Amino acid sequence: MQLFGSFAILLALVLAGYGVLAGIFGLARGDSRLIASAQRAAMAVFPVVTVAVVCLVGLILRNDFTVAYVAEHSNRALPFYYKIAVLWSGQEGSLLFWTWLLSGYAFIALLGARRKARGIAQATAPGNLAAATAGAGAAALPVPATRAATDEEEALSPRLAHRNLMPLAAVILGAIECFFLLLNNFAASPFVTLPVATPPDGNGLNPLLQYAQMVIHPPMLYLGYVGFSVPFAFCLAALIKRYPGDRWIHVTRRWTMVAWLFLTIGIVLGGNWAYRVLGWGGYWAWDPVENAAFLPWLTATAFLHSVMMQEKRGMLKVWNVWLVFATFLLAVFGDFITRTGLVASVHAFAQSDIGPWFVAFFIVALLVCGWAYFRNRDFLKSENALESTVSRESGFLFNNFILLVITFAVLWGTVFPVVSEWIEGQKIDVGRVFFDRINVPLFLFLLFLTGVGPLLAWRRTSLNSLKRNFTAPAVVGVLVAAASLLGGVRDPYPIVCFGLAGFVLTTIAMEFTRGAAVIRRRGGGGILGGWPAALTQLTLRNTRRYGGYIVHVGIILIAIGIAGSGLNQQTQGAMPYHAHMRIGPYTLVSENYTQNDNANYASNSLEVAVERGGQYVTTMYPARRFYKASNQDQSMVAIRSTPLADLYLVYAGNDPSSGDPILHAYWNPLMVWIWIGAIVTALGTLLAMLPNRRPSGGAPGGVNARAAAAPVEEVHA
Amino acid sequence: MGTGLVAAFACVFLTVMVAYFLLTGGEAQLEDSPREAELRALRERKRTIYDNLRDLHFEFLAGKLGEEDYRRGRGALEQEAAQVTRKMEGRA
Repeated sequence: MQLFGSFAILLALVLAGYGVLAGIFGLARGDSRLIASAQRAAMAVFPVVTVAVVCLVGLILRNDFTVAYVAEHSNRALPFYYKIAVLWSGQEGSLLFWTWLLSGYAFIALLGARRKARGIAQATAPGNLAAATAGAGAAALPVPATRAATDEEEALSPRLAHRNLMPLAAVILGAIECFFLLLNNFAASPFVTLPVATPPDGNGLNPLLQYAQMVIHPPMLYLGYVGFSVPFAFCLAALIKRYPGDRWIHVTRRWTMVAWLFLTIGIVLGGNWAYRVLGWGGYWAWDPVENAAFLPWLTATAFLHSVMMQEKRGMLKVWNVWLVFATFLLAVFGDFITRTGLVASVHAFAQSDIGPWFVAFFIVALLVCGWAYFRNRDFLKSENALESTVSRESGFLFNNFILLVITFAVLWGTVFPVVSEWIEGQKIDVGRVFFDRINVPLFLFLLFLTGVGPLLAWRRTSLNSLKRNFTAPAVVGVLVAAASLLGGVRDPYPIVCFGLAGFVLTTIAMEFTRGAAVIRRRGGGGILGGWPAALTQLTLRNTRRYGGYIVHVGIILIAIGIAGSGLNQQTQGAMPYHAHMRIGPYTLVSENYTQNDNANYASNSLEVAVERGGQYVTTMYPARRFYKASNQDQSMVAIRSTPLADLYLVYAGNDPSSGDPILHAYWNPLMVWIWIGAIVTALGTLLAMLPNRRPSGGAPGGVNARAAAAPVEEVHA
Repeated sequence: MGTGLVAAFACVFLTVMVAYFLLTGGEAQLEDSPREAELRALRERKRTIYDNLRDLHFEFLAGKLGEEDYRRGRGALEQEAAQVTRKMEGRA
């Protein structure tokens, strides 16, 4: 099986290499057969890499400890689901997993391009064109001379862009695949056999990874990281081809949203894992590997906002292209620092020698981006200029500026230990204080912009509109901040955050209610004509906008959860039988102390009764496990979540003198809102990816193409 | 020896399958001519301007924009649409 797996990754490399070369020659010579062959090769990479993945999983499930990777990361007693997670728990396996996801993305994109090509061919067939031109939408348009010039075909534009850019995008994706397949074959093969005698059992999976979140967190994170390769490929292809129009940016945006969604889920699951597993009461420590995931998330978020400037007004084209490039490069950088031991992290894989490969790939990718940009920069000329600082455009600009400043701050803080080692000979860690001090005020300003941006008009906003839109949200914001102060919050950041949350949530509520009111006035909202139906119709008419608002609600909920950490409490002490401890509104009573043993681990568990105001609330069981295969122990945190706060108990070990169990208790207000906010964010993103349900084509609001084509004076007469 | 033989057969089978997939199938569809592509881009632009006008109108009806902002925005968009339409007619 390991021979077959090795052969499969070698074959995949040959296929990917052929796809790149055949694609380049096919495109250069306009040879449609060669292009088609290159695309088929690119598609074939996925099933072939799948064979390799199946082989490796098979070796893990069969406990084949002749294979070094299996012996290093698995053991016989490991439960089935964790054995699957072994695939991505080590360097070699996770690199194969990365390649598999990348080839899967390329496969889906290529399959989509094939289906789109068929759909376009059907839609533009002469019979269908006649039907389309007879439609009401098309009647308002001047009849163009070409056969493709129908409203129906205009709706096909993003599909056309996908189909037309796919050959070059496939070459770019193939080149990225080649890099990872080179690593899989020659630098970090998961199919290498042990040079020594086969051990009776493996070293086992790292105990930190033996959690449900860890089965799903890395795949989500990887789907995010790897997913940014697709918008990068389409964006670079559009730039190199100088693809006319702006529909290519739709394709790029949609793929970015997919990757952004996965990365968001991955980051939050990582935070949730850290919270539930690492036992320090927090979820984010500005660890270099956390930052590595956060950096492309920041630039992708910036792109998802600034892309609207390009789509609506033909502005910020250079900026957007570089945001897409930067997102991809930062994803590669993240992979690099995770795998090479460049920076110390609880997440990072051990020191390895694949660093130079990544450095070379990063440099080549950067050079290609630079070459494509300088060769085609005139193609990215802006169609409009900023007309006023009080406009939606400037809101997006500020948003992007802040996100970029945060990106640079996080990047600098992350690489500072490496830079300091180069300059001063010793690694200096900037620490959490650096990140918090710089980023917290910036994030608060970003929250403010989240509320302000949607209320500003495109081009210019008058003082009247400002008053009309901002009075109610500002009043609510101030009242919420005052209520927080009166409620006992003393730290200025949480007060400001709660106030801004009130401000932004009010602006979003206003957006929904005003829009739904228009639909109701027009008789929309279904048979019942009620608010829920009107709100549903409103959302489905413009899923991107209203899905985006729901994403903002999610982000605000996350911000509320984070602000709650300013009110955290913690205490620690020995807990002999019937001992008491006070934390937040709770009293904790030590009730029992038990020990368990199974094939995988031995555990000590403490039974803690939780009381509030003298009334019994629940019983919690913080524990500590000792994993036999890896000889490591691990804390099992007990958490009781309510909408107001989490009670978080850690079995911190035993008192060396008395042997009594030591309990570390945390009271974390509003914590659950971080996870709820993440779910809302994910749902909002999914909604934003749905197509709009509204008729398109004809000119709106009494404007038609003939009027628009006439001299401006005539239109206004 | 037996396992090695099975692995060798599996490798050959995989290679044959992949080669069959590569060597069968049609041609890739070629793109529009530059003139068609340019016209398509202009139609896309016009469609975007219509979408912008529709959004502007909706925001006005929702009470988000004052009369002044609405009129200014609509005028600018109509002007943009007129320019794009003229370009389309010039190239048709």
